[in-house]
Amino acid sequence: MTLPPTRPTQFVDLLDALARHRVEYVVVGAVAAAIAGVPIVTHDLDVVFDPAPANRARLLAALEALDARYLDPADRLIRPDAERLASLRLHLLRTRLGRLDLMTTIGPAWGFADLAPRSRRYRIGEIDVPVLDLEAVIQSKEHANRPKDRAGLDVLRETLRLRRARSVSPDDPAEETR
Amino acid sequence: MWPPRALPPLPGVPCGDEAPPYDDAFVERFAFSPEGVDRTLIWESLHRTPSERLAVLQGFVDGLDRFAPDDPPTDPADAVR
Repeated sequence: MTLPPTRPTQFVDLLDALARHRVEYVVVGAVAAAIAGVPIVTHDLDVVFDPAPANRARLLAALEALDARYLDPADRLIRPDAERLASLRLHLLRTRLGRLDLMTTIGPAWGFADLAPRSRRYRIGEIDVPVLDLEAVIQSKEHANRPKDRAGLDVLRETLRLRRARSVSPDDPAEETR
Repeated sequence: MWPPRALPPLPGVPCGDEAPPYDDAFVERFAFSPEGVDRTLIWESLHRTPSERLAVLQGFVDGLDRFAPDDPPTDPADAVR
């Protein structure tokens, strides 16, 4: 079975869908870096979610509304369900709003409880979005240490240096944090 | 997408009378990091709001999608199997 083509990932609409279902999560990876100011391009939204049962139930409802299915190398139609959300670490999904990668941990086994205190909430459109700090994004990529992670590290590190030189603070109106 | 903004000079770059002549050496030294990262692109991004940064990313993704493999060929010459 061949999956139908999807539109490009609609980042704000995906975040809005998670917010509407009151899913607890932290944006990580390249989108977190981009929101922090890194000039970087990615095609998917990476999210670490709170594995608490109540949150998994809300997440599953959001995924059903998004018509989510796994990106299966064998091209089967596999839907996320409660059992998979409770047991798998990595969920590579295709939704009607584009690519969404869900994880329970990143880097050195950092889960939601580790990442939430290292995130900040940015105002994106009408919603507050929890986004992992750039320093933690860099650390997670240093730990992953795959070629694709190493390839982008210089840009991330230089952005962090310039952010600090500019003294970007939560009070800076350009940061739109809450 | 947005009106151009006047950005402050990059941190560490000599300004005014202290600025060296604008030549290749000046650009190589201050516009790029020692690793070759374009610092002017980052500086521009840092002076956007987070919403604007995400909109820029969205613009790139929407643009790149025009070349996605799912797209049917628009030129009959490309439809060769």
